[in-house]
Amino acid sequence: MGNKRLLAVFIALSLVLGTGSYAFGAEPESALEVTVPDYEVSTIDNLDYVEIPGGHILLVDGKPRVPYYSVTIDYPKGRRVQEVTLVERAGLVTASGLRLPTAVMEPLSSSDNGLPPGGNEGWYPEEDYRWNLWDNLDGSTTLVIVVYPFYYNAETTDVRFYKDYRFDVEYVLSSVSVTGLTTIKNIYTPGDKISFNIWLNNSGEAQDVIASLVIKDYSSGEVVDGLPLRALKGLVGDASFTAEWDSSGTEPGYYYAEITLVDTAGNILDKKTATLSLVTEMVKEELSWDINEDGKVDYKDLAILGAHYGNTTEPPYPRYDINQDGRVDLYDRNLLVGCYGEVGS
Amino acid sequence: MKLANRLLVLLIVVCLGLVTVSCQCAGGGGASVALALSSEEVRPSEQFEVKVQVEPGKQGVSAVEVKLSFEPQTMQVVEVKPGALLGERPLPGILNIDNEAGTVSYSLARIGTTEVPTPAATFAVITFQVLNSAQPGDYELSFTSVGLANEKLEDVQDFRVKGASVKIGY
Repeated sequence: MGNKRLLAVFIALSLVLGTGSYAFGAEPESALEVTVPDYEVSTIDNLDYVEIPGGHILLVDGKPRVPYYSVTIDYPKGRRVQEVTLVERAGLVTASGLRLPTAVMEPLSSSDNGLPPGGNEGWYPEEDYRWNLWDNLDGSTTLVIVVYPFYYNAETTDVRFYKDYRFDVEYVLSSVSVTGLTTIKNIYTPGDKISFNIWLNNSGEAQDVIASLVIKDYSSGEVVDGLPLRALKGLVGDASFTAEWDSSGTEPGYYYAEITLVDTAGNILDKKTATLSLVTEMVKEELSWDINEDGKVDYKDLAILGAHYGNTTEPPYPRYDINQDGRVDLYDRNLLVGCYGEVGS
Repeated sequence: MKLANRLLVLLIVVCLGLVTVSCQCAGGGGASVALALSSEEVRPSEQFEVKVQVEPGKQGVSAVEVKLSFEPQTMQVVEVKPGALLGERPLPGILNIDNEAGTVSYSLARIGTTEVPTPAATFAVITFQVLNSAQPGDYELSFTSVGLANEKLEDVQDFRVKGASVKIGY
């Protein structure tokens, strides 16, 4: 597995394993304050390992090994975060003389003599924060905010650490939701025309909604193709439509379809994803969602998935991490259900 | 009958009894899956609920799959909801409703570890709509297949299943 993929998996895992957790009552706050615990340093072989209690380590190949911190906030169904803005950052602490090791993603060869100090020009990391929104099974969402409070300059060995953050969380109330996004199968061959069935609901007043469906690469999240926008005028109650994607010219691999509903002001009202795999015929025969290898994809495989659901995994990935991405989650469930009932050899 | 013959007959009866008892206790440990109706008699255009009740016996239940058949000219499935058997937020498997063929398939799995024994509870609640054109009579709701996975995530081997009958009246 390449470094980029490892990094993507790491970031995905990190986002999931939020350190701080906020649960709001009836009405989620739009202002969020985050206080990052003081960092701690331990010195081993003249290298300084920095950690934040309850935090994580940012491991990017060839970059200094710096800590970061994350918080999660649950939003009930019907509220959708649009934007997260860093309003204020305070509590600056500076230090100097630290020798942070470099993150090495590949195994060290026998000629390597330990971890070298971090080699990097200027301050690292370059980002201040990032945020992501996870869609849960029950229609609620979880906002994950990752802050990078610890900056390191490998040339000068200087450190800047910010302790206090204040964010503005913009969200909208939405009565519009995607109630279903399905394909007939989860596994296709490049060149197949793939039909998506999309079900929508608006439990509120009639509203104009625009639906966009894009196909994204599972690892990178990059858009590989997009389907024409669909305008739904005066949507109220239940509605459904189908869309077809011609997968010709797309490389074999893991992808997901993502449907996004926006209002006429551009606010995102809801999103939903469905995984799909494009495999060559030869690979297709080798793939198996039959986790317990009993020759059939059924409730026992579902039971195994359920027993490990929400867990993280590491290489060599167990069979129940079906897409082998380091997490047992909805994507694995969708892959299994897509092949439910199949009988293998 | 001679004493020896009487003793032989007695021995055979005792042995048969022991075999019967051991068969009833083996495998599923008294597990059963049964249908329970909210109302045994309904009228055209009315709805009724059918609970799929699971008695796990001495075992844990980590996943369930049921396939039911019904008379599609008389009733239609309008909704299938999870019960409490597999926890508050079970992992959804399949839900296939075929109101033309008269079949419904549903599977769920527990998220996390499975308690042993799992308390008896409802696996699913299926809501049926009786059609306006339904003719009076008794209609069977029967299992075409049932699968239970135990706490070891393996098949529960032996368990009893029991369907139900709904009466359509005027």
